[in-house]
Amino acid sequence: MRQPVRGSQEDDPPREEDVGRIRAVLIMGGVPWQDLDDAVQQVRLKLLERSSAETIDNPAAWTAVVASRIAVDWHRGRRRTEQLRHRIMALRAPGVAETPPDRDRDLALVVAGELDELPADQRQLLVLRFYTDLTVPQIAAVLGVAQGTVKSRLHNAIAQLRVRLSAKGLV
Amino acid sequence: MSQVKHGGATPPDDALMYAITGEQPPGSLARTEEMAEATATVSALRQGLAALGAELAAATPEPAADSRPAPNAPAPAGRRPAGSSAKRIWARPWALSAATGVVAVALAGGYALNMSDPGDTSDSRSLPGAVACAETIAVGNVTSVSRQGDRFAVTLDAQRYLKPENGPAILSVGDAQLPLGGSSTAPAEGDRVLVVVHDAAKGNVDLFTGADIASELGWMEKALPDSRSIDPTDCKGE
Repeated sequence: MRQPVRGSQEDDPPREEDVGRIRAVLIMGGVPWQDLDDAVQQVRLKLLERSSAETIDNPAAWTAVVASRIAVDWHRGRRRTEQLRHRIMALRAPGVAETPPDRDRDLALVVAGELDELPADQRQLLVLRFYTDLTVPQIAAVLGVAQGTVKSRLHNAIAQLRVRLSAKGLV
Repeated sequence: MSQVKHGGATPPDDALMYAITGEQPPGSLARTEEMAEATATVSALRQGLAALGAELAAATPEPAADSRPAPNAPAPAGRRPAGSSAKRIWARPWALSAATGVVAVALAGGYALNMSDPGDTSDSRSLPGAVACAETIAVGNVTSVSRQGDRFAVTLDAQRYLKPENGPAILSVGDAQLPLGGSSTAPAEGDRVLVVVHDAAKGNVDLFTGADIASELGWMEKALPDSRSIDPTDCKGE
């Protein structure tokens, strides 16, 4: 998005309950666990800047895009220090956290493994499209790329995912 | 939103694509097994991401002993200088309270929100980790280019190498891609380009054109001296 966007009355920094979602986008995008607080601060900072300068139409989407960008940059500028799949498995150690039902847990683990295998750019697209629910035109607009490019990269990533999901009997 | 670019790589026109975009498939496809399978795949992906997101959102971030970088790993230094205009916005570990004051001053000058590069100010940090992990960084003029989808095979008349210090006069790279979110445009013969080969074996090659060249090269030059003290073997897996 290369132009100011106006129109929202929501100028406050992200609510605490939204921070969890920001963290999820950051981790799925490749930010290492130990850097998470720094990365969340980056998102907060940018939202604060925005709140002082401009308003935007869709704060939730904007926040997700900012988080995904930071994740891409973090991931590419640094050595990948951990696998998302391993992180999820560690979180599931007894007593650490409540977890979703079994099929969702299986899907989460498969998807985490898939994200681990993807380049940062494709991770970003998957998260923006299917976690944040931005449309393809919206993603193309905020990233400044052609819709065809977004579609092709999503298609490539999901075609591979389909094979693995099928092999595991999850679709 | 900024203007939407149409075109780009020619995407497949199949059931999976309709499932991805959420567009209504043509009647001939709508009730087919292929469409049902594609829809199920996308639904499973959404469900998996939602479950994954829920687990991650509920988890408390703490430093993890098993994920700490090695002492000489490039990670701690892998931060990009602010103020660059291309794709990457490297993190700065500012405390929020301090940053707020800095930002307030910056905004007093009439800062306008720019989604592609929000919040960059003029402080300067290098990215020795990123430079240390790059296999080749070179600038030159394109002598030939061929496009394969959204990627490019490019040959350039290399005029300058940042890393290694020297290299072949004619440099050819494949699988190069323009950075998402950057201002780079597809290169043409005669164009000046910056090529960054992160990992040739994995096809991880970035291609910068136009104004992105100066901004990217700027932080890489600053990062170069410190990058020499980083062991590139720590880059494996990047």
